[in-house]
Amino acid sequence: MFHAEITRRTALRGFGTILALPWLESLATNSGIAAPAPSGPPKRLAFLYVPNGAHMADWTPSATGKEFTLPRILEPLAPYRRHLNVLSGLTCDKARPNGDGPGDHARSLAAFLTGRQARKTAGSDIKVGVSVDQVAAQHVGSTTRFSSLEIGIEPGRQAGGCDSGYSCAYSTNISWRGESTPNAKEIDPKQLFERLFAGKDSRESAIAAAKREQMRKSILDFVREDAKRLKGDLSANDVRKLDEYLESVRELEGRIERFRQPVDPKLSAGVTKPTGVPRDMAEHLRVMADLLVLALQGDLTRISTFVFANEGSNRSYASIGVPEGHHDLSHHQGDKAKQEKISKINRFHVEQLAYFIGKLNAVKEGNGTLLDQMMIVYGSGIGDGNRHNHDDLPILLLGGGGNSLKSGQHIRYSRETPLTNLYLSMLDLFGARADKLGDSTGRLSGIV
Amino acid sequence: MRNVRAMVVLISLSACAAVCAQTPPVRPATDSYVANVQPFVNKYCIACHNGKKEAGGLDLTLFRDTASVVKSSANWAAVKDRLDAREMPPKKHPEQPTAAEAKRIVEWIDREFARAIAATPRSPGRVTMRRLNRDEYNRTIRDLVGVDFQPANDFPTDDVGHGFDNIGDVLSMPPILLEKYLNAAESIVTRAFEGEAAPQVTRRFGVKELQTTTAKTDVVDVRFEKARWLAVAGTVFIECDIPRAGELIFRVRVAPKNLNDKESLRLAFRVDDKDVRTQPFRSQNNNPNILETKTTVTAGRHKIAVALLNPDESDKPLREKRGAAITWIEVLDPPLPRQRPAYDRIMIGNVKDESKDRANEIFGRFAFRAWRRPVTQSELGRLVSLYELAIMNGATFEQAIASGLQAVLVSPHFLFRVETDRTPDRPDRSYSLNDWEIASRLSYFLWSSMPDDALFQLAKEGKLRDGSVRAAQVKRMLHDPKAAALAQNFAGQWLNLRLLASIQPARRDFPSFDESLRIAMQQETEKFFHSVVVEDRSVLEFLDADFSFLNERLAKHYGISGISGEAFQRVMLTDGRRGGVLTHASILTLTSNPTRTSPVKRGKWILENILGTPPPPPPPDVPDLEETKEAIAKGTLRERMQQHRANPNCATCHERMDTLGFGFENFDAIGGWRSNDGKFTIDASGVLPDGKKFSGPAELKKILKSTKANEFRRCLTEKLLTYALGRGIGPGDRPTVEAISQTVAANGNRMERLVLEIVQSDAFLRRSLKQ
Repeated sequence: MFHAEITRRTALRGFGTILALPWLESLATNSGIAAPAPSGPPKRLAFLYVPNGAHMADWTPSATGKEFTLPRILEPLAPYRRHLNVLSGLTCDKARPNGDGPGDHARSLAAFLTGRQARKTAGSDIKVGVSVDQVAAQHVGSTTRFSSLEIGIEPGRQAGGCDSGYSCAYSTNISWRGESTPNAKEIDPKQLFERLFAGKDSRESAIAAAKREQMRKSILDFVREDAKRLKGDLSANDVRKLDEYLESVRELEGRIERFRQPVDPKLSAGVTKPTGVPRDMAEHLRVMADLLVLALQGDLTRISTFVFANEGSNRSYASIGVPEGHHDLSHHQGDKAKQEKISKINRFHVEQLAYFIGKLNAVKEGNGTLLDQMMIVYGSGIGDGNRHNHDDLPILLLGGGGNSLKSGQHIRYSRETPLTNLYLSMLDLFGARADKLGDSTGRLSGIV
Repeated sequence: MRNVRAMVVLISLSACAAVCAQTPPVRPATDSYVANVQPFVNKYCIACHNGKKEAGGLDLTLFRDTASVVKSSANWAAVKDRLDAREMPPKKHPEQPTAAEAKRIVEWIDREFARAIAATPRSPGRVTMRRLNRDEYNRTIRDLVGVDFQPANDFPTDDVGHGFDNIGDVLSMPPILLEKYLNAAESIVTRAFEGEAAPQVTRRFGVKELQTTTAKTDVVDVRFEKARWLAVAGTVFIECDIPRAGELIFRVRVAPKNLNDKESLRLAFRVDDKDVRTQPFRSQNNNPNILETKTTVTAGRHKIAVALLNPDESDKPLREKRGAAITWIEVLDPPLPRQRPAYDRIMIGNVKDESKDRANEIFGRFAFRAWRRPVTQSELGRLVSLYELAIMNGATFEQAIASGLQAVLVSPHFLFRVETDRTPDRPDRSYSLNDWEIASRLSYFLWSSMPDDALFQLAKEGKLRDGSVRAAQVKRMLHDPKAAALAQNFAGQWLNLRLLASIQPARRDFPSFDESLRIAMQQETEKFFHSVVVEDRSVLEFLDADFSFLNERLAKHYGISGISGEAFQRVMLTDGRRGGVLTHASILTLTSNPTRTSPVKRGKWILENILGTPPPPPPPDVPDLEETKEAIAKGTLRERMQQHRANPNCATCHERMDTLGFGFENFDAIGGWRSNDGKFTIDASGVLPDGKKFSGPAELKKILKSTKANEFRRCLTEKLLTYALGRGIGPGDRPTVEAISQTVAANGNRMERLVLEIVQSDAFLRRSLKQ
């Protein structure tokens, strides 16, 4: 553990120096981003997911309002209490069977940001709905280099079934750009780094870089034409696949057109390029969080999802003294020892969340910090892993939302309040107003 | 999975479908379900299978008529199974139906299903255009450019559907992936053009091989190493043959001796008695240094020398003079020209020719192979335009070609396996695939890669629609080394072998488990699968066989002596215990918990992957087994499991799973043989639902092989068909699955036959228009 910590620090030496860089001071001009709106730095969204529910006894504060004691799992967030809302009683109804039988894990991740019931299929016609991050991305995505960023630390399962007749696409993907098109997530920090900082050779001359971009553009032109012509010879699902392809072409073309200059080297200066996937889970989560902070800070994206582990994940947490599988443990049957271990895993995850929040808080931006501009949802689509209930979910809302969020409270909502109501409120603040998202019934009170 | 499950039951009924269909269906005034089944359901089932309890995930109140039952065939296949085996209602249920009552319901389900099958139009089905998955991308690039770059290792993992990662519908194309494809295309072309530097040969000449020009030099010790002593005017040299002209590097390890603070040695480095470089030399504490010199030489014999230019003219004894001690001279031959096999393969035609015509020729060949079909004139024209645009922008010939090649690799024609819609040529609104499409279906099925030249040639000649030509190709392809892909990708997923990589047996309990054992386990199963394929063995040998492939590590693990070395050997198994995938350490390990075996997981694995009858998942609210020390002391795993089978909610499914799983209890959680578990003797006996008794894995395997052959054949056919087609198996495929598994049964259960029957099926050779 100690060793791993040292390694990570060594690897990421230099992050501290960049964090002092004020927002857009140099980035805006250098990266070809339009000058910031007079209203100041933009708001950003992040959705962080943890699987298998939580040990709610150690999660939910006993008091509501502003005067509450942080329970054990949430303790690591104490320094950021001012920016924390604990939202109790929210429900993800579409994670329930609603006649579809077993498969809570797959459904939970699929429904968490979509509020829609995943179609029960092992893979013939996957369908759920567009997720909130993508609703936001479609609204403002073209302003930034990446309309959204999807990251995680676990690859998809490589064989067999994932959950009771549901395709693995549901239990691995949280972000859905179309109702049948999940956004695959990046789990390798090295790949993420190269993607964010374009993997460009710093010695490449501006002329060479421009030529390269020009070439890419003409290649994309070519393949778009290919796809368009091909479309005429296809039907049904084939057309859907080609539409996915065409949309992706458009996205990349837009990126090349709008962002002719490479990312400001100041942003990644001093950051040692990660060499691969760290063995230690905490280190892995933190390196990914570091890179996400950079991406948000440099305004490479304003929207992100971060899956701490796939839903139903049975990985072992040996490094914190819990060698058993997470999912196996979550069916604890009231066994105190198992609940204790679940609680430990939950707290471990929140420690990593706190690390992420801390990093955001250390970035100065405008008159405040990057955290002030953030709206971060952290939680699970399952309440108690043993009962597999989807009401009273463990949900946190963090960040200042551009000084528009009321924070520092524990709010208990009435039963069956849809989680998607929270998202509608967030979309309002983000400037991507929507009338409905999945099973939403309105806006969430108490946070604005 | 549930659909697949239903399929198995339905298929078994399809034989009777024809018979049943002859009886004209009687349409009773009231719905048949309401009249014949609902009263039974209400009396015996509804107490648990209702909307509230939903035992086993089944809510029977949702069914109101026959149509709704038929629509939900998966659930009702399960109902039928349970009733038939008299597993439901549970023994504890207060009301028990008579055998005749249960039989009546079973027959009703049979009849309605048969009617439904007969009414289902038979169809070749329609696979959604498949994107190449990561593995296919890597292999296709390897075969296309001739170098195994493995560019797809950086891509996000592909999602799995129907148990496999090559399912068209699930393989989506988000922007991140297109971004990766763009990058990969660029790096593939760059690497192909740059080529790979050949490794350089280094030769070192030690003190014994170093010659001197002067007799006064001799050998001294420098820090425990022998060195040539150069203290008078003269050289230390070697003569050696240089294989080719080019830049030669030579290095000299040298230590100054007897120098004072102000002195330096002046050394000259010479080739064929000419100074290449001279330099003053001193070092801290007179430590040895390695000095490197580069020069251009011709091929042939050369003299390489170090000279001392400022010898000590004093009359000190030789050993005390100022001088240089030379330990060795190293020679790096001029490098071989860069190897560019991929470049040579792509850049066909005259190297000096940089005309548009040559561009045309290069694109024509490359796009044809990459897109796996003839390229149209207009497509070629567009590629050439791209090339011309690049030239206009100041690109060199190669750079301009590179842009076209990249476009080919990012085009949907490369990334997807395109099968365009055509006019149907049969009343079922399906059309037959063309030769090119068949070539790709064959190559991606058996090799996970593009067709080779032989397949392309046959396609060009229009011969792949000929059944006997296809049969010959299947034989050829299965014996090609590329068929290893079938073991890695199909068996890797069918048997869940790929999951082995993420299994972590607890170190405390299984200290002998390590990476080399894990790898050996995986290899055994892959090699075994491959041997069944290439030796055209009976598929039933997957269940039980008298041979396997072991190396020393794995043989030791199995307690088999006489196998040495890392290489795998074919080993005859004589004890009846081992043999067949069920007793491979790989499978036994990936179906265990970190600390102990899991008869449940083993039984479930058999039901899912061998018999094709997966059990429903457990209800969420189930107690786990107690793992505390006291609990373990209380009894064997079997005794402890009895406790939770006492729960009627669990009993039914667990009877089926656990009985099978306990049959393999003689294998520990990493597949080692054992007779005891802790202080308890292993009891690996059981009684299957049909009353057959067994004791131990050898007997259980024999029973499975003799009595479950039908189920297994169907299961394997379905899995292999799913993999071959890249889509889930639907109702229209039922007759296909049944026909194939019957033909395989009638032909000695041969593996090749199974592959061949799939390749010759309508589902493989035809495609339905949009339903």
